[in-house]
Amino acid sequence: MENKKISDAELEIMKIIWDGSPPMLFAQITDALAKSGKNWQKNTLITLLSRLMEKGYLKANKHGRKNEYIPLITEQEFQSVQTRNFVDRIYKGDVSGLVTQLVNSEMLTESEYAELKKILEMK
Amino acid sequence: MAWTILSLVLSLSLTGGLMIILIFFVNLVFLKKTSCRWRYYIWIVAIARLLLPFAPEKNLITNLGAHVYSMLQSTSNTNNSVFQKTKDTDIVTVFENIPEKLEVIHKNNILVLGNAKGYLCLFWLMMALLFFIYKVTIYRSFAKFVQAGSIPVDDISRIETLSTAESKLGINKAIDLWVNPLISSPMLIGFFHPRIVLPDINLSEQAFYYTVLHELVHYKRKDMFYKWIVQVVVCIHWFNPLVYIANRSISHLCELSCDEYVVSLLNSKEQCKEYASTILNAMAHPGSYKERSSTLTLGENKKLLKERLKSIMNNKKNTTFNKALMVILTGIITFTGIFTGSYTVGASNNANSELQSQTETLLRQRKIAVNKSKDDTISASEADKMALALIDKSWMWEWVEFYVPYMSEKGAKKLIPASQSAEWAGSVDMTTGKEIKLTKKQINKARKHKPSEPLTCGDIDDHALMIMQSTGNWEYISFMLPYMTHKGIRAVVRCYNSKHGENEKNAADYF
Repeated sequence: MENKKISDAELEIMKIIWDGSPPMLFAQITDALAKSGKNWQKNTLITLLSRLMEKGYLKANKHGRKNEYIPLITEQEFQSVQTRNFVDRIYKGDVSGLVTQLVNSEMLTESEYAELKKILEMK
Repeated sequence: MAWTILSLVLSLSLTGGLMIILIFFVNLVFLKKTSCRWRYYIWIVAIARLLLPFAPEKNLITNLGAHVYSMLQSTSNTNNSVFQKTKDTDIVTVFENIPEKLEVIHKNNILVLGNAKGYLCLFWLMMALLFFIYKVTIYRSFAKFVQAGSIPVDDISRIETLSTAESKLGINKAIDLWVNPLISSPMLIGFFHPRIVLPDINLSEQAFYYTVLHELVHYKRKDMFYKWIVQVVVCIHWFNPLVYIANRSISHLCELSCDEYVVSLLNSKEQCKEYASTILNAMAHPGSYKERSSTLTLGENKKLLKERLKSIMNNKKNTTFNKALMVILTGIITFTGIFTGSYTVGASNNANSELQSQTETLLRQRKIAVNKSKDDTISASEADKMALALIDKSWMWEWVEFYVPYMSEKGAKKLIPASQSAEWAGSVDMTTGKEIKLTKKQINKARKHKPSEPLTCGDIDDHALMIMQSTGNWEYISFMLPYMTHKGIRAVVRCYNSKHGENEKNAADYF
């Protein structure tokens, strides 16, 4: 699971399925994509969905002639795996380096910093 | 079995070969008048002829087969001519021998050729299997190689273009798109999950579109299945050089007709030029796996490329005349294909039944000859002898009763005394509990039947066979042998052998 790279378009679909209420039907995914301005063709979506299934992110349950798509990984799980990969790759596994970078480049707002502090104190 | 399979394969190969020659020359002669598509699909007639052992009952090959068969038979016919020269008295013996000789000739053919045919059949089968396994292995290892070095194309605009091409061709299935820098040219791979694999994704939008369009046309027309059926035919007919010619021609025409289809979708000469240059560029890409070398040498590749480019640029619409010509040619070739026929299993049975009916006719003629001969009636004293011998062995009245009407007065009177001194005298009937005795009443009743025809050898044959069938006891019939025909003796011996194990007795010993 960890090293199955996911393409931008594939991630787009995963987000839609996570945000929606899985299991999701093919038509529901198409509608959600159209709302975000992505009018992909049917075969394009089928290709991407079958790639996601091959990579183990998704599972399809057949309901008659319709497919129901169920995520095999939660968004949190996915994020933690991706973050770990990111930290490993960019900061050589050094998390404090990441936080320092976030603060120094002013990507972290005052309120977000307070929230982070609270989480750390609770642990 | 071996004979049937071998003759089937050989006849399919022969007629299929004729069809290959016909189609090859028709394609050559009408090169300018027919479409690549027609030339590509007309090969199906030859493929079907090479694969399917079905044919109308009267066809070229069965007629040919019958001709060869009658030539084989002419050896035995010399025996028939001998018979015509012989005198009446010899008729029986000559007829006697003919069926056997026929049988011997037939058996010798099978015995001498049988072993060789068995080995040949096995050799053919082994080679066919080896060829097939070889082809499948090559394909699988190639597919594995392509799979291993492939990465999916993530560029969504490329996938969108592919989807557009799919909907343009009316393909519902979503075909995946991969890239593998190790292959030399674009390809469609996989039976159940087909995917397009490109050697390079850095193509112009137009070139990419034309490339996938070409591969999708292959998918749409199920070219892969056509090619594999041809491969099966090549394996079955591995010994036929014409099949390899057909194979090569079909794979050339596959590409040519695919181009033709793509070009028919294009609108302008400009687009045709772009398509041609796409093919040229695709061919120029160096690959590291020699997937092409197994089917085409470099020179041939160039030649095919030239031919492809020429036909793309010279693309013309079919005229009504050409369309009509193609319909007529299809009709002629299909008709020829059907009526060239093949050696069918049914035909071989016909040949056998022909032999059988010939033998039967000879036997019937012999029976007539036997009936006409004066020697074959049984005299009263002979009937006496047999009846008395039988009564000595068996208490079965029905069996003895058969002789009674033909017996002499003197002989009939000896029956009761004979029964009293018989081996079985004093036996008790198990069902009634009474002693078994022959009565005068029984004899008188039997003698009232006055037969219109005299007793013949044929009647003795039937009677002896009946007794043999119900008892299997040789003693009950042994005294009848001198009065029986050879055919009757053979029948009795066969019956005896079937009850007592094979080759227990030999009919010829009793002739």
